[in-house]
Order: sequence, then structure tokens, then C-alpha cells
Amino acid sequence: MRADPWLSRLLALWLGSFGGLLAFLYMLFLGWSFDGRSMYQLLIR
Amino acid sequence: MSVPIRGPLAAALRLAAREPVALAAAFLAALIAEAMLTMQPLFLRAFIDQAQGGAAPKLLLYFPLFMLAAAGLAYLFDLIAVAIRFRLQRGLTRRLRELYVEFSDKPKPETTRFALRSGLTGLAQLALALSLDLLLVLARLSLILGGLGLGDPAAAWAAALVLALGAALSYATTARLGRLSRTRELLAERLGAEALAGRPGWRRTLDRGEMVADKRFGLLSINVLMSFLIFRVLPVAVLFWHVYGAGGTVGSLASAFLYLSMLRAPYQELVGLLQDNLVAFSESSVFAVELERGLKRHAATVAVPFGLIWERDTGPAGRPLSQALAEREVLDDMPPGAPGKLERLRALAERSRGASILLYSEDPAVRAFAHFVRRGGTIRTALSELA
Repeated sequence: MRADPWLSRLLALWLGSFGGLLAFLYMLFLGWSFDGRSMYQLLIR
Repeated sequence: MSVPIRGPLAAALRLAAREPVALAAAFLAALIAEAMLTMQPLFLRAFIDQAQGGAAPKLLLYFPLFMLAAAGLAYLFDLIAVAIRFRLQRGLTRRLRELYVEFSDKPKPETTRFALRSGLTGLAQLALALSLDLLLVLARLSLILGGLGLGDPAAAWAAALVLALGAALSYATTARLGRLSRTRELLAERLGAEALAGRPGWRRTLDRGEMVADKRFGLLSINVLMSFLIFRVLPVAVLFWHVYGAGGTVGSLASAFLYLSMLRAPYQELVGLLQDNLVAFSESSVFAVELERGLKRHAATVAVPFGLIWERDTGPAGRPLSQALAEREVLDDMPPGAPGKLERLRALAERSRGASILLYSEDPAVRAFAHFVRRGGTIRTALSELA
């Protein structure tokens, strides 16, 4: 198949979105807490 | 799997596998989107439990904020996954059409029209379904069942069992329905022939047609029953379980119900995939033989970058397979002793120094000009060809 330029753009968007995902996971596990418990600990009880 | 479709399907899968990064990115993006959506009921459960526990409103605000962020990421990754899949299917369909037009026999106009209009698209969809969609939908179901299992393991196992049963039954009923449809068409044709010829067996044909219709109704009803059991009875069973068995908070009950409702879309997608694949299978067999032959010819010209390949495997007679001035050509030969034949062969051999040419011929005169011989699917040098 010929190289599709749109595939490269979508892969670049994928990488950018992955950065957003990492920021979200940071907030979930480390960035926020209540009574010493992170949001993740509140979710899994 | 029927023999004619195996070759083209394998070729389509090989073409799809040429973009492993894009396939992996689409797969991961869809998984991430599903994981973000799967977390929503967990936030809901924690929100309800904290609200019931008397938490301050300022604290409660964080739960919908997290839910919004997760939903936004889910949308973004889902968009990326769908867009990559669309581009991959577009490229795959294009390539299959190119190979079919350039290298395949086209004995019947209706077969050619069907293949180019929708058959090859169906084959491309089938290849991507087997390499991407099926894995994704199974991963989605696993994620949702995993989320359900975090709060209620028994409900998750029960749901998994019922879903597996439903999918297996759906596949079996669709295969059976396909066979019954073909039987019904044959019976309708036979009835017409018997009526026109005035043969006495037409009543029996009518009875058999009605039996087939009854069986179809039964099979379709099984699909509806499975849907009812999974999406109506199972949630009520979870309620009973909570009242008389496990107990648990209001929050965990709410999230269990939300998970069970989320199972509906991927389950319907799985059933739809299984049904569509069966249809694409049987449709592709219409042109699979010609496509497979065309793919082998393409492989022959690609295997040898330069040279005149003398094709000794007899193919169907007819118009030239290619009239294009492409880099690689497939040509029918002129009759033996035709005027200008030797000059043409000489010109072909000269041109094949730049790009491979596959020539069908039974004329022994070709031996003097060919560089390679293809017999039984394998290519050897012309020196190995017996006189």
C-alpha cells in the first residue's frame, strides 16, 4: 500500500493524546488526595 | 473455511499487516478509550458513597471533573482509532482493486462488477475485522466485565458465561440461517420450474419451503431470546442477588447496573461482526478463484524484478489480461507463426530487462526469448526447461 500521509498525522495526534492520558493518570494516582487517599484508592475502595 | 477464499483472505491479511504501527495504534487507542469509559461507573459509585457519607460539596466536585476528563480522553482516542481504521480499510480496498483489475481474469461481467462494487470492500473489511475488530471487541467486553468484577465478581462471571453462550449461539444460528436462505432460493426456483412444466411434485416443494420458513423463524427467535436473557433477566438477577445474598452499597448496585447496560453495545458489535464475516465469506467466494489467480500472477512478477517469464500453467483463454503500460505486465501470446511474432517476442525480451513480464504461451518459439519459466507455481531459469 502506498504511504498514507493521514496515517502519519493520526499517529502524531495519538502521541499528543497519550501525553494528556499520562497527565490524567498522574492526577488519578498521585496529583490529588482526600484524607490521605488518592482518587484511585477511593475508586477501588 | 472454503478453499477458494483462503488464498485471497490470506493475501488481504498480509496487506493489512504491512501497517503494523497503525494497527497497533488503532488497537491501543480503542482500548484506552474503552478503559476511560469503563471508569465512569467507578467514579459514580465513589461519588454516591461519599455523598451518602456526608462529604463536603467542594470535594464532591472533583468526581464529575475526573469523569469529564476521562470522557474527553475517551472521545479523542476513539476518534483516532476510528480514523486509523478508516484509512487502513481505504488503502486495503484500493490495493485489492488494483490487483484485481490488473492481474485477475474477468470471465463474467456480473462477477467483475460485483467484485469492484462491493465484493473487494467486503474482503478488506473481513481482513481488518479478523486482525483488529474482533480483538478489540473482545478486549472491550473483558474491560467492562473486569470493571463489573471489581465491585461484584459473581455478577461478572455470570455475565461472561451468558455472553459467551449468546455469541456462540448467534454464530451457529447465522451459519444455519445462511444455509437456509440458499435452500429457500433453490426451492423457489424449483417451484417455478415445476409449475411451468406442470410436474406433480410442486405441493411437496411448497411444504418444504414452509418448513424452511418455520426453521428460520425459530433461529431468529433464539437470537432475540439470548438478548432478552442477557439484558433483561441478568440485571434483575443481580438485584435479587443483592437483596438475598451479597448485600453491598447503593453505589455498587448503581455501578453494576451501569456496567450491564454498557455490555449491550460491544455484545451487539460482536454478534454483528460474526454475522457480517459469514456474509463476506460467502460473498467473496464468488470472485475468490479469479482473485487468487491474479494474486499469484502479481506475486510471480514481483518475485522476479527483471526478465521475461514464460507461464507454462494453462489459464483460461480469452482477452489479454493486461493492456496497461504498467511496470509489470501480464500478457497473452499471439498464435504460433503469426506475422511479426518473433519480432514481438524479441521486443518483449528486450523490454523485460527493465521490468518483469509474464507471458502465457504454448508456442515453443518463446523458449528462445524467455529468461525464466513458471510451472506449477514455481519459477525456474529457462535453462531448466526441457526441449
